[in-house]
Amino acid sequence: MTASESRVVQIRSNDVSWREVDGEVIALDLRSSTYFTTNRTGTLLWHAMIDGATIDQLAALLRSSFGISDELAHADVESFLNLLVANGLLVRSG
Amino acid sequence: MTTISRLYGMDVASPFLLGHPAMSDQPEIRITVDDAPSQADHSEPLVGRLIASFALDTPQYALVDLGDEGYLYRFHNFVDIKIAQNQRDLHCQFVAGAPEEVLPVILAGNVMAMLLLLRGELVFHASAIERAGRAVAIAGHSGAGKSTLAAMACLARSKLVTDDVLRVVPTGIDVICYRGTAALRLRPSSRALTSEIPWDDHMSADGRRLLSSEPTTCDQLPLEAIFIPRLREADHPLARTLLAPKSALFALLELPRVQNWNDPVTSAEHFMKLATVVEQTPVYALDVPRGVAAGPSWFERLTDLLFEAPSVPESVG
Repeated sequence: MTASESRVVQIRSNDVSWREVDGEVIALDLRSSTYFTTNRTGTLLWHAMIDGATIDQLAALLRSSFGISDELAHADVESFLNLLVANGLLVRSG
Repeated sequence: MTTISRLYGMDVASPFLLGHPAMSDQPEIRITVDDAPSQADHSEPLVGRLIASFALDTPQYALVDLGDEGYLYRFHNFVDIKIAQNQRDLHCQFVAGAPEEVLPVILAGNVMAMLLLLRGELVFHASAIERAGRAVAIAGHSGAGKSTLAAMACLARSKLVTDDVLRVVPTGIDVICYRGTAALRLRPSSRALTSEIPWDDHMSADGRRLLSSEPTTCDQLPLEAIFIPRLREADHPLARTLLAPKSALFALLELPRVQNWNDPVTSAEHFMKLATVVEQTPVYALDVPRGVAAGPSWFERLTDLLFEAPSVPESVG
């Protein structure tokens, strides 16, 4: 396990308003007045990241939920995190 | 002389009749008009935190937060409306030479919509009609046909709930809406429609064809459905398509009553309430054929479609 994968990642809570609608998260970034939406995989990760989680924890969640390989799970998590970073919605700590 | 009107669930005192007769003699909102013209230079930039603004070739209106001094809502080269910090007292001051007769139209529409939004209320850019104690909303941009379709429904035994501004409240149990203006304001392009209208009509102060339809007697009603018209080819059937909640949410987010609203707190409230509404209230795309030769039978078909109960299951567009 690399140091980066044990770091906690979290959804930014300041100035973000979000709701789950029909199984998908729709988030309003109040700073930029832009909307961010997730698919069902992203919704699962979003909920896990509200209070913070490590990348390994997130990958384990996808493995157990969808029965996918560890490699694919980590790739999906990284992809989702990149989207959050691009939209200014990710907070890293630890 | 002060008149108290009932509008969007509030009793509003003003020099004008803005809606329906009041339900109490204790107005929640007080609007006054200054006898003296404004001395402010409307070409100067406004001071304060900008909450909303709209411009075409020239600035049209702007709302700024003045902190302890409340808010200023400026219709450029027309009127300044000072809104107290309590969001209950409004004071209007015209620019010299401004067409003051337009003020009641602006107050009942744009100003009340702005005030409701400031208060964190959910406001639709919609007209609404009622049949048998149930309301449906027709939402859309300016010129989308909201008032025209509402007028057609009123010709087919529906009653008017409001035109152009609809206050919607998700209560946690259901979704309700409030009665608003008592008349429909139609564009001159609706002339073909107005030939079918049996009641007297006249022009509004802002040049719209103002039609008084039988209004609902209910101050508040359950909101049964929301329709978003989309104009189709002439041979396209009149039809409705249920939108998935996520699609409905984004469709309605693109139809704000007030353009370019930029206040984080009220924007968050608006978003959360709208998300609740689309989870509880069906939202349909309403396909309307272009250039239809509208007559009484078509009005009946339209109205029946608007008030038709959801079929189970209903295909989602």
